[in-house]
Amino acid sequence: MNVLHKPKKFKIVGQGIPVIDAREKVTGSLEYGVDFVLPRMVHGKIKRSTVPHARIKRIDVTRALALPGVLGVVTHEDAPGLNWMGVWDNYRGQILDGISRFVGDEVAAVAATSVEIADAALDLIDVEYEPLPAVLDVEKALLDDAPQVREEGNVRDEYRVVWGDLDEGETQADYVIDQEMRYKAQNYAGIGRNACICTWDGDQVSMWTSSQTPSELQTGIHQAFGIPMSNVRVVALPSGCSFGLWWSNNFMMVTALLARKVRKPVKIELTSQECMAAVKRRHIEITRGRMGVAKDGTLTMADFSHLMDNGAYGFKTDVYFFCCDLWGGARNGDYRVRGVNTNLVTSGCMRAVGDITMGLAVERLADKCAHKVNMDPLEFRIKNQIKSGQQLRMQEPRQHMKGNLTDYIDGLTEEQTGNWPKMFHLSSGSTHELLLKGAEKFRWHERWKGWGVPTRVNGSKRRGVGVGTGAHCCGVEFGGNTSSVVRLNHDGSVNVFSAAGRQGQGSETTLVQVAAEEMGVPVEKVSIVTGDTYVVPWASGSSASTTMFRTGWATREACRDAKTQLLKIAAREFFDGIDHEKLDIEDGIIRVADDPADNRRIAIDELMNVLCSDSLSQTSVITGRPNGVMPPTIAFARQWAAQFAEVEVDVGTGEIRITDYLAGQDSGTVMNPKVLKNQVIGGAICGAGFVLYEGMEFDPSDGRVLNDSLLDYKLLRTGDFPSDPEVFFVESQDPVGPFGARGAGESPAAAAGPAICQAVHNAIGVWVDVPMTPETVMRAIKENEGPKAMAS
Amino acid sequence: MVNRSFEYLRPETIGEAVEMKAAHGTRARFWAGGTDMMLLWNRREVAFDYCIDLTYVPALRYIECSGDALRIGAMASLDDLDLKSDLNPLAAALGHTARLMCTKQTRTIATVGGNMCHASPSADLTPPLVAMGARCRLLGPDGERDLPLEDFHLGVNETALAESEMLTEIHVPGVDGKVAAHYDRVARTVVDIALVSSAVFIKVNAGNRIERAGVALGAVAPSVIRVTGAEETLVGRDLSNVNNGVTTTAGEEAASAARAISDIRASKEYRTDMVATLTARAIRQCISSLEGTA
Amino acid sequence: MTRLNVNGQSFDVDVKAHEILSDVLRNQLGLIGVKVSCAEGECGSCTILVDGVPATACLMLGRQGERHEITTIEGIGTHDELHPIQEAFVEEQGFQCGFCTPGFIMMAKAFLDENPNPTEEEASMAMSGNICRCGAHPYIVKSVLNAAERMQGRHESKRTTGSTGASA
Repeated sequence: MNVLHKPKKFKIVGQGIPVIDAREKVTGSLEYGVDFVLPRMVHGKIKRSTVPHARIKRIDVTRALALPGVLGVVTHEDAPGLNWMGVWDNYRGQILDGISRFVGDEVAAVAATSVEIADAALDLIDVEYEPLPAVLDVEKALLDDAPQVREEGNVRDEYRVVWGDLDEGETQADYVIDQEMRYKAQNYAGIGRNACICTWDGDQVSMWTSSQTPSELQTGIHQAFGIPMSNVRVVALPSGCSFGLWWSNNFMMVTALLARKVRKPVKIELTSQECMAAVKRRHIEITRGRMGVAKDGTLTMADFSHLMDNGAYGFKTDVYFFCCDLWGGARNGDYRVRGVNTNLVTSGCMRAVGDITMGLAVERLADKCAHKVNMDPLEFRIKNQIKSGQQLRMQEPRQHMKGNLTDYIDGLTEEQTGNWPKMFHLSSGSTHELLLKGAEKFRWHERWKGWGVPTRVNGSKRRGVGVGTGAHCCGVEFGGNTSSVVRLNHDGSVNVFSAAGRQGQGSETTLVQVAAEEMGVPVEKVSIVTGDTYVVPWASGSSASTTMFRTGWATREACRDAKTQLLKIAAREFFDGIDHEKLDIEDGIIRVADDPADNRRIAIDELMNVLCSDSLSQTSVITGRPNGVMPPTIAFARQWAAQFAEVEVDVGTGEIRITDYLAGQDSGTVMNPKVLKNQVIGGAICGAGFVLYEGMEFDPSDGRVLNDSLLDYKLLRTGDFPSDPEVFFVESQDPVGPFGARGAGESPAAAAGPAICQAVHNAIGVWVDVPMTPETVMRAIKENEGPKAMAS
Repeated sequence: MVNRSFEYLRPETIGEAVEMKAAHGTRARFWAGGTDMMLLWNRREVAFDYCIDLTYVPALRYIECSGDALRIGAMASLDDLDLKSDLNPLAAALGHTARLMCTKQTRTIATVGGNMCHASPSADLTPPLVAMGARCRLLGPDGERDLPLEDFHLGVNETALAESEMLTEIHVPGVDGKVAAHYDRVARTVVDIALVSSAVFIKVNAGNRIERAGVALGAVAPSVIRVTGAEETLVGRDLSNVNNGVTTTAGEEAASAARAISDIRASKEYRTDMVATLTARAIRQCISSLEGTA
Repeated sequence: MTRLNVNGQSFDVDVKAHEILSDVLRNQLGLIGVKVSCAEGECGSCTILVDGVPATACLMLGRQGERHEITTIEGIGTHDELHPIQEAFVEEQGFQCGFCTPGFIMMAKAFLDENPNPTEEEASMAMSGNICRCGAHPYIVKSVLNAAERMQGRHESKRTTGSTGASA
């Protein structure tokens, strides 16, 4: 039974303490996947396909095996029917099944005494391919006669959110505007690469790799190799920047295969090119939409159809877009999403999946509606976006083994659901206050001069301002897929065990803050294990903005459980049988709460020592775990972002410079402002890069990635973003999240694109396709005849 | 194949370096900064048995003004070029160009000579050097020769270097007097390869009449293009006569001289349009520098 | 044997002619603070100082480390005794995942040695040779400015307390 959050003065929540691994990071001593080594370790390399779609007719490894130093080679013949499924359908399928599904797909792997020997051996593996027809275009892949990439077929079921009646909405509209937006795939382009180190001893598999999802990886190995989960140890190491790249990946399974083959620790370290062209990427997406607006600025309808390519091994049946909730004020709506496989490198959920793309199309179309009725974009958002307490548009988010979400909730007891917030209604927060506060801070009403009107013109340089909004979930799914365990030690220190990723988002620190606040101990007394599946309880991992909200909830509940056990004993042994709920812990000292006159005190360590002593020997430690059922997150919680940008566009060359930035975020209670502001700006920069420069280029003949290096895949650098952006928070406390906190990492990425695109539009008077490279800007100006006096 | 490696040779004088190259011929490659060579080696796009590392030859690393010429040793780093920006207006223009190239921590390794010998169509340094009328000095076992930089570059990654020759110096003659140069380009992020670029050099006489002009374009042909049409538009004019009409005409000359192609960075059309804009801008920049010094 | 002088110590190591300096430092000397990501000189993660000058170790041959003083992140501060630049990065949280951080700090060291009192704009451009994919950009710039103050003894540690209305 969970207790709703009661606001109180926090001691640790809200403190901008340095992240707990800060010193390791600034001294370079933190070990990432690529840094990890084991004694007696050998090295693996992957042979990758040179063709987009083919069956391997013959593969001859004799020459490779003959090379001195080569210890073993694995091919599809070593991997019959090895299949695994990623929890979130990002990557699933067979490992080395004898079919290449994209240029760069794994076809074999070598283990050798050195990286160089393994590398050289790759050239000595002779592969004869029987070519299969390939499909490299997302729309062509939908056709009935398209080559099928997966056994299950290319096309996933359509995922749909509907409310009201579109025809009705069209009748109510004074104007209906339509639009199509096409997106190139964003590359994760993770700085840091990855490596996987695996040992296979007897029936015991241990793996060290950078991963956001240690438990998922444990399940993947269990599924693929049929080993009991109890015998699978995954140690998820910190990763470089991930954005969803390093969950569970096929190369980790290939490392396991090699370890089984050679029975030595094997390390496969990926090159930057492999990371950028052969692991995973964001989907290529297309959004077609229509929106209807009445003259008074009311959105009467929203009709969107979205298509995304899954690449070779992606398997998304849906994309958790939340733009339909964000623009939930539209009276009638119909949002449809389809996923389809192609013979391109696998795609999967990248930061703000769906909302950075489809959300941008919805925002842009809404902007066009606002323009049509000559309304300020800020007012238009306030008028048409969802407010706290209102009904969510997303009703049945996902089919579950027990049926749909309503069935699941109906099946729970009163005791389990307790005082859950109202299902399918927004529990807290919205863009409203963010927009109001932001407008004031940005001096929006002063700086916005009207649609397509620059705020300033200086020769060929035009400045414009824009506002954009974004929303995302705070974790997906709804049943028991996260947990935490806490252990209270003799000395009053606390260990927290929570499966979470360490990709820089600071979860290890914020979870420690949750535990310290709840246990009433200083943060220095709490340490956390996030990655070792031998000790952490299963959790879906750090994806979908889950960790603060759901794992944070579980961590608080686990602490509450341990604390209750402790206080019951304290009440009995030291406070004359007082009701334990009257006790509290502050700075590690148990005392009667709210009664300054009562001077009885006992420190946790003192109490624990007594408990462990011979005289009592009641226990050695106290262990806590969550007792209740967490309500289905998706049915009430969202994170909100509103961002404001000023850009300068050179209409002679099309170059864009961001000159000012303001980011507002409502993620409920702020656990750590330093961590959160970094997440918010990091999201904004991810979104800004996506709409300005980032886009993967594929060879039209075979789908190979052409810009697989940072020379031609351009990431924003410090000089490309204002050095002094402002971040502000609105803390509408969540009724369920730990101390009122919600998820945070993804809505900021979704809000950036719309703000920057609108600012560009206001600077030059035309809408520009994304990415808005200099050339695309110039093309848009030319096509639309652009500003009347084009300066050079 | 496992022992895919090379023998590392470390000359300390120019003479030793040339001897080593003569001794090993095509089996040897000079390793200047190596910032391009390292990538080629890692991608297996180059093979050699001897690496002649020139980084320990101090005699090749200098940037100086002597007589009327700006002299740049082949092993001067791009960062050296930045640091020597205050030598004269042309060094300033080259320093400005260098700062646009790769990153600071790579500019300290990459060299002017290496950049020239790699002969990339989008090399930033080539257009300003060609516009300035730079020449290069090549040294081989049979002696030295000197040729215009534009004749040194024959095509994509192709130069006029003979098998055992070495590029020792880039020099820009006739830099005394009132000169200005400016390089402009279109790029994406602050660190990028030029999508398209243009460089302009102008020298005026005491009466502020343009007596020499150089216009050169980058990334619009296999190697740098010199736009004589645009140069002719400028030469003989008074500075005060270089109005928007003149810069536009020079820009149009540049666009018609361009032989751009489309690739993943930009299209042919965009590149062609941009050389007009960039050339006009670079001319105006030179004019305003010269007016500032007038 | 190749003699390398790294962080004030001499090492004789067996370096193959084609071996890359970053690999030698990481694999033979165990200096894992020399991070390698792109291996093409674009990301700056492997930035070291060669005679005080910043250089991408991924683009240098191991043999080219000879006759120079090489400094890696391990040479400028330790866990218990951080360099002021490291302290500044901790305080401003000029990082997220931390993979690119040693490279940024080494670049900041070279930059501040040359320009001890930079403007925000200068710091921002100077840090552009490194890539932070997490997007800590403004906090990296703030770290450099904070470090400049520390190195000149002008810095007073800021404490962030409370979260309401906190702004960056």
